[in-house]
Amino acid sequence: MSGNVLGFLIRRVLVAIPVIFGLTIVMFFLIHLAPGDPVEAFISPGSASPQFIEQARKNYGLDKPLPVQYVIYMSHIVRGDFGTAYTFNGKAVLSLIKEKAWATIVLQVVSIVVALVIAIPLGIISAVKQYSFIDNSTTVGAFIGWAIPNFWLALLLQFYLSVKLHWLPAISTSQSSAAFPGRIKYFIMPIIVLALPSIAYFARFMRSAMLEVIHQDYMTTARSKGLHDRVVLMRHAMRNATIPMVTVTGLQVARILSGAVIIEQIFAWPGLGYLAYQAITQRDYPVILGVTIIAGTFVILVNILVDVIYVIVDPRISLPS
Amino acid sequence: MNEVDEMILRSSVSRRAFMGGLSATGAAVLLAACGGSSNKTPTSSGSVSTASSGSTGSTSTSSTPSSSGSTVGSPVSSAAASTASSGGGEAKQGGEIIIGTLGEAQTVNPFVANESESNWRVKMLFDQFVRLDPASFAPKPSIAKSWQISNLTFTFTLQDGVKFSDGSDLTADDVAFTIKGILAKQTASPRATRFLTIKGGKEYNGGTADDVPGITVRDPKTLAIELAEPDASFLINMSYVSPAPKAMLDGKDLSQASKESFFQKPVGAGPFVFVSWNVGGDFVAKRNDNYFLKGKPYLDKFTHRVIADSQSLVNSLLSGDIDGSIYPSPAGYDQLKAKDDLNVLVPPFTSPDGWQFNIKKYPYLAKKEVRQAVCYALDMTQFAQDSLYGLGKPGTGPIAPGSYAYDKSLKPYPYDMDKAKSLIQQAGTPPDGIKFTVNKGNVLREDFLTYTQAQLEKLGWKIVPEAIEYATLVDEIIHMNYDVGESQEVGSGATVDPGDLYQIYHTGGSENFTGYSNPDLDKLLEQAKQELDPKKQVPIYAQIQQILVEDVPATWSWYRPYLHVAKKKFKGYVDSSLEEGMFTELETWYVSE
Repeated sequence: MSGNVLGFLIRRVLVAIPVIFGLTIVMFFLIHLAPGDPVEAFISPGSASPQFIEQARKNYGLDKPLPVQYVIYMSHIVRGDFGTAYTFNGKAVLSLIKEKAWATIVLQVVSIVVALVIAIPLGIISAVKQYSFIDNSTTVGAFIGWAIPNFWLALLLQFYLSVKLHWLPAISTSQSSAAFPGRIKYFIMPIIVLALPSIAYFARFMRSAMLEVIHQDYMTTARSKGLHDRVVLMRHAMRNATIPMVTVTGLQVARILSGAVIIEQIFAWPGLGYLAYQAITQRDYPVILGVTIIAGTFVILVNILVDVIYVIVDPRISLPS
Repeated sequence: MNEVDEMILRSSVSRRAFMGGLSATGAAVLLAACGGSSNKTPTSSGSVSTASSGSTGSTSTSSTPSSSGSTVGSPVSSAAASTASSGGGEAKQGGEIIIGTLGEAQTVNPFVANESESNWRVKMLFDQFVRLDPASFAPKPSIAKSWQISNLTFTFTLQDGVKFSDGSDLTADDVAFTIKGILAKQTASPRATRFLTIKGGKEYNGGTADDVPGITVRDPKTLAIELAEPDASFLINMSYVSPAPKAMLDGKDLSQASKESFFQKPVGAGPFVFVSWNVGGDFVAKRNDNYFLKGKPYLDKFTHRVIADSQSLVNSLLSGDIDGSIYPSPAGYDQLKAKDDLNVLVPPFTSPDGWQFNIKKYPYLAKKEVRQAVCYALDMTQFAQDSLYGLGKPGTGPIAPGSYAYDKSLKPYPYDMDKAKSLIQQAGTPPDGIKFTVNKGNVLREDFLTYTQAQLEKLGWKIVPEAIEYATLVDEIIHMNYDVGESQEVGSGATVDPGDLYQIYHTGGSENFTGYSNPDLDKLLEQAKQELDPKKQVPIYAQIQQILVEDVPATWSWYRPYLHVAKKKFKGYVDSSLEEGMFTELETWYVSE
């Protein structure tokens, strides 16, 4: 079986490579199609004559025809050189991304874990005690959690917990320099805002996955064998319900790098979403390209991983040899 | 609330774009703005003489540059009652400040820096050759101790004891190197337009010459610059020279695309020394112990922190996470005022916001009656009350009210619907489909657009309102692809240097995006550009303003209110409508609880 899995993995990776290439082509040409010259965007209008704009474009290699620029760009990428930013003090794009990616990954992973820790028990209980008070309030809570605009909640929390009560710092810029126990206070508000919709989502999904499993015949068989309820639950129901949960969690993880742009902005969280947002408003092509290509590749890889885990975990699936 | 954050982001960006877009020509500002201006004019405090002690409310002792030949007006420090802090407490060393900003700086390269945040950081790290007084905008000594003017030649004498933060001396060579670096073709510097009047500057900038004959280093402390033509804006433009060490940069790439490690760890002669920059987050600098103003700066270090969301910025001020900012939205005025430990200031107004007309595109818009009708149809007093938080006011003309060249006799267009209607009748039925465009997300401008639409409807004129992305709007205006556009993205007036009006309204001017052409005005603009005595410029600019207000190629409808906020424990500053506001001279700030 593992040989087949390995083969499956290799096949998926091989297929992914042209997909990633396609991604770079699409992104590259799409970005350059945006109206407005990047040079004009960062040289104030009126203070630079066409002559300067021409020289500035030359300095950035923007004067060459687009396909030539693409080839030059790709030849650098395969060597690991994503170029330097137009703004951001001309920092190397890759090191910029590395700096910021960690902050975003930490935030997202923690919020997913928190969401799962809360959502899974909620989902199980809702399923087991269907239509009970817990179930109904979880359902209502889920819809509220989905419906609340996250930026509104963020600003609300910031205003009450930080401005009014002074319990928490308003912004998280300093979080990387704080030592561990002190760092937690910077996480609290962003995590609440990020986790809430995820809790709603995961809880509902867990609930329906569990419900599906609970009513299966083999559950009745297990119970009629005299097994304890909790054992039945843990050993049979949960394990089977976990399988779709893996897919769902994987989809959320894939969203790690793209999500939370607004939350990062509001809490000044020094992450990748915030970097991408600034790069877009500043027309910083190298950074925009770098972030989208890396994020896109990440999503592709995570999808492959999820598929592989799914195959491993679900014994019903058999792969062609 | 989301609209607010985008509004301020956009308005700040536009303000930066506006400030950064001031062109090179204009009249020299040597006479201070009249101290009795209608806006709260703060006292200027803090001198720039080398041996300054940390004095608090001292009046400015900007040394009068002596001149032989042409007259140089004596700078007068405005001594009106101050609303800025200063006063109280002893100035002593110590303390730190965290300053919040909405946009991140793009670079700290002194050759190409072009927007507010970059410009300010460059000033903090590299200082300026000549400074502008925060209140009067008059040029005053900085690294240049004094200057003499003889015909077209400016001879600058440098201060003693100016050192870069690595201990090396700053000499006239470094200043000359910096100016030439800005002018060099390969640098592609947006600052270069300010120095094209130097003899040989244009040729050097065009790549047809190897050097600039107009710049001569007489000795390590003396720099002579000869102009090719009279340029009243020259001294103001010298404030854009932030000297960089020639020894470290000679022969290197000075452009924005440069990969020189110098720009990652800059070395300058300014009051602060670079410590670290976490791009998108905190920029940190500490006191330069070698700074030529002994005893200054008082603060140990400053942190310049980016908080991109405007509501978040206000919350951070309220919660105390940052110590000051010039970017909180005026919508937060009441909240901020209610906080005991915050000093909330409304700075003097800059040039007004309004509409600018693409006169070239539509013969209809080329009719003066039509443009005047728009002015008469807008009740700006009502608009200011309703939409400007009670802090903004109706605008009067292209020059900011605090400027020495401002014509005090100007009045805003009165609200007169009948007059507007009769003017439209004279001009004829408006064609359909004329678009009025603002940048999306800028709430005050969007309000103004809605208001304008409603008012013009009463004239029977159905306009097409449009709110588009900022960079796209700028692009449209520069290429004159618009109908009627928001006037402040590329600038329709002058705040610091009335000479900016030249490029905006002269026939064929490099910033003339309305297509306005008036030979009488052209003559006056040329006169003003060549008149070096500010006192003599005033009547010329008065005529210029009156013509512009009569012809209204752009409307100057409303003054945008800004808020400048700092914790009360900080003292020693002067508020200003310069682009850095009260932080312009951070070296004079000190902490006094």
